[in-house]
Amino acid sequence: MSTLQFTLQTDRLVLKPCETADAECMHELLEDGSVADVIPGLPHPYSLVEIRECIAKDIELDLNGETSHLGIFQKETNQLMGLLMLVRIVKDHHYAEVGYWLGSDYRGKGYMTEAVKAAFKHWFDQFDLNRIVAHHIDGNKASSNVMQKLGMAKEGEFVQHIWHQGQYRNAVWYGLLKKDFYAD
Amino acid sequence: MQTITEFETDRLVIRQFSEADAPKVFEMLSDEEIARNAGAPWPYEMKHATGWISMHDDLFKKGETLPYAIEVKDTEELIGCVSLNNMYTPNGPGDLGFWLGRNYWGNGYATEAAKCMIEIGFQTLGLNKVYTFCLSGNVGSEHVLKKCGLIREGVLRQQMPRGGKFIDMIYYGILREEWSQTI
Ligand SMILES: CC(C)(COP(=O)(O)OP(=O)(O)OC[C@H]1O[C@@H](n2cnc3c(N)ncnc32)[C@H](O)[C@@H]1OP(=O)(O)O)[C@@H](O)C(=O)NCCC(=O)NCCS
Ligand SMILES: CC(C)(COP(=O)(O)OP(=O)(O)OC[C@H]1O[C@@H](n2cnc3c(N)ncnc32)[C@H](O)[C@@H]1OP(=O)(O)O)[C@@H](O)C(=O)NCCC(=O)NCCS
Repeated sequence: MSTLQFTLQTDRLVLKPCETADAECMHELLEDGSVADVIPGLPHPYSLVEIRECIAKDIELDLNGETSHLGIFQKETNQLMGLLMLVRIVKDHHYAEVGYWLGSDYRGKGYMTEAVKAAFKHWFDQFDLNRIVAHHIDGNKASSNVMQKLGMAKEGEFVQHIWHQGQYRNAVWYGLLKKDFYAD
Repeated sequence: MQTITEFETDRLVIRQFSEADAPKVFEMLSDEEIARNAGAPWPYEMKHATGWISMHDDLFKKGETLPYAIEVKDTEELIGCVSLNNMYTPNGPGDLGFWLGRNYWGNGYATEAAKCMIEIGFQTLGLNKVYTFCLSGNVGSEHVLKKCGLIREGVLRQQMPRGGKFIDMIYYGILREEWSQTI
């Protein structure tokens, strides 16, 4: 299977598209359910077969230029730690949404801020974006901190916009304009 | 999904579109400002109107997108559209939309139709929330939303390209519990 052959490097990380061979590792990272707890729509439990299918589907979408998925690998060990994705790319509107997660062993070390910053530099250019947004459900302090560290501005908290795990939850919305990203 | 297809307000009938409405829809959406704000294709052609209306039976069966025609009771004239959209996820909110032919602006019709649609959303469809995004500067639309009790919850900056610029979109919403206190 062909994939997009490109790699981004940061001090501690390598960002590159996943392959179906990464499914087992991803399965382990997602197994404790802590990611599905904060990302509405992410299945849990999520079987190995389903994850493999999902990776294959994402590769295809990436090849079509509809999305961009990057595995987050530890440079030293080559260990897959999480995923970073650009979705809902609306070319005419120069707009897209970002999503991300790390396995619980790899959180709290500044990895995600490092990863997203590098990916933004690449994506603003590659997809000719004017604006990238991100949203999290209320209470996800770690995610809102990442957004703030990236210079994203809170644009609203949309009350009970999301039904998740049997409850109405607020969607907290952040946006980043190209001009502000490059102003720093 | 329950498919009640006709409602009444003081002056209006809110009903499903039929094939016979296509020429009037085409006429009303042959106005760039209205077509663009309604999210319709531009330039708008007759085939867009017939194609759109031909999808409605399926849309109503699926229940995710419900476009209703607005008709004036007295004259039986079709004057526009009011809709609830994007109801894709279980227990998710409904996205309110509306537009009127230019000749019918300024009579309170949009407010009357939108109030009815909101009631349909909460009472008939059992929604928990009705929301919409309104282009910054669309004064008429913001007035309608406020008169219907929707509250401004945020601003998506530079969300929509329009006339060579990126325009903000304002999020308005109302919860079922807020709405039930207004009736
Ligand atoms: C959200 C997530 C990606 C953050 O990744 P991370 O690499 O741990 O984030 P960073 O280490 O770059 O932390 C960024 C900031 O948030 C803070 N932070 C991290 N975890 C936190 C927590 N649980 N509570 C409060 N603050 C936290 C960090 O201290 C850091 O701030 P600082 O530099 O001022 O100390 C990670 O926690 C995760 O994958 N969570 C589960 C999935 C998820 O929430 N995805 C996002 C859905 S919108
Ligand atoms: C927005 C639209 C539906 C308003 O329809 P309408 O029937 O004229 O609205 P109403 O008569 O119910 O007006 C409600 C209030 O807004 C005011 N208003 C309406 N248009 C206005 C305008 N352009 N400027 C200032 N005030 C306006 C009315 O005076 C009224 O206030 P009042 O009751 O205090 O007098 C109509 O202009 C339209 O179809 N526009 C194009 C499509 C569109 O923008 N749809 C909304 C997408 S979010």
